[in-house]
Amino acid sequence: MKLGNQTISSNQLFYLMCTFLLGSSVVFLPGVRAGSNAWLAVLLGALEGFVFLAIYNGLVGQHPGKNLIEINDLVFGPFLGKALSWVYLIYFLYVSAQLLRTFAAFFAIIMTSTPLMVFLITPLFVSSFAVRSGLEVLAKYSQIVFTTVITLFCFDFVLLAKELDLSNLLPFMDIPISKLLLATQSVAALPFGEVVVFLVLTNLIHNPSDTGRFMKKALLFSSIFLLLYTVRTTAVLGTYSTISTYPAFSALRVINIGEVFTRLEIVLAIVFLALGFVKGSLFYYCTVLGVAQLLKMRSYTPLVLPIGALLLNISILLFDEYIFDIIDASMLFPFYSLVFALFLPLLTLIVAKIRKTGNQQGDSANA
Amino acid sequence: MLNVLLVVMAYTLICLYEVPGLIREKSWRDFASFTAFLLPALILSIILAAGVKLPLITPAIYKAFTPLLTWLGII
Repeated sequence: MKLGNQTISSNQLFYLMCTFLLGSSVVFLPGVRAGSNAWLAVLLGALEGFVFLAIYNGLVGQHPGKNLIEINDLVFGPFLGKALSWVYLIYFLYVSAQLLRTFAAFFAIIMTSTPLMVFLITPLFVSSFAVRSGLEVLAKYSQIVFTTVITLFCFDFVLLAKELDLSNLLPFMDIPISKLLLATQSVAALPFGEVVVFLVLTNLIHNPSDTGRFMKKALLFSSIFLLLYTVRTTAVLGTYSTISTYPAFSALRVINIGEVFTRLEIVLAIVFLALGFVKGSLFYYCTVLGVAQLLKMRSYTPLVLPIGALLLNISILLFDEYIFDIIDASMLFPFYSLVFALFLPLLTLIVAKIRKTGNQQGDSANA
Repeated sequence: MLNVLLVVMAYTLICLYEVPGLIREKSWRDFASFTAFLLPALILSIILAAGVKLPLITPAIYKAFTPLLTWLGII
């Protein structure tokens, strides 16, 4: 059953996934807990991300043109399949609430006199319009944002060139292996593990046979970008990156070219606004679409505002002190997100192979 | 009290925006789903607007994970 009123091309899927993966990672430096070895954590985290993607592609390849909800129904039967789909949707709702709160907290730190509620309601309001407009609108928006963001980052790289000190990347492997593994896991979970949400959209892509290939391309591009981004930020900030709340933000603060190009960190705030919007809206869209599909609704649009209201309440109830956002992103999310990013999809793939559901030949072509 | 009034007004606006179309099209299933999600959201919003302190989610997860994090030597 197709509830989304629009479909997107594989190319649009690539842009959507790239903007999604860069989303919140441009502000929270990936792998920052590993200090000077952050780049290694990103590299290992990206490899783990490819393992996740291989599982998702295996599922999509075996059930071409079907989405997560339909796959769960096929593999586990109508009762257990639907129960599992509800669990996924609650997780997506929770993650979108978390993204909204992180987004609001970031801007509340920059604009201290404005109440937090303004930063919660305004993006949610715009996001609900985007969700109502459909996936194609989000995909087209991400195409524009992607080009702009890449241009801005190239500009930043050039301006930061004279501040780069590659000795900041040393010493190599001076941290305990457990710390490196935790940093790796946090990179794998955020952003790579969140790609699981794309499984809700797999029935809305023009050419299902291309889905796996374009998702891999997007993951490869984003991994290389995040790796360069981490190397740059660590090379500029050195050990300061581990104690800064927003390391990438602090790195841009040091730009000073002839007293003309200064205070460029606001560029990052704009980029975060543009990228975070795609990520938050996509989670929101997938939650609404999944719920409407499970409840066999004619259209998903009547659910956009009620689920948006629920999302707002959950984001208020998440935490009252900002430190819990950092604790969640660095210590808790890497563990509990594994259930949804790895264990449940892997279980579904194993059961699908055993029960021989879907198309058994299709997976080799797509995975 | 003003907060609660504002919340009720916002939810009334949402209803005015969505419900007439659903009734006109006789989409009863969609209407039921809409109500099933809007009602809990409304109740939660009223409780929050009234200033009632509810347990927070992330600190609760942190508490639940503390034994595992301690065992792994992370905290």
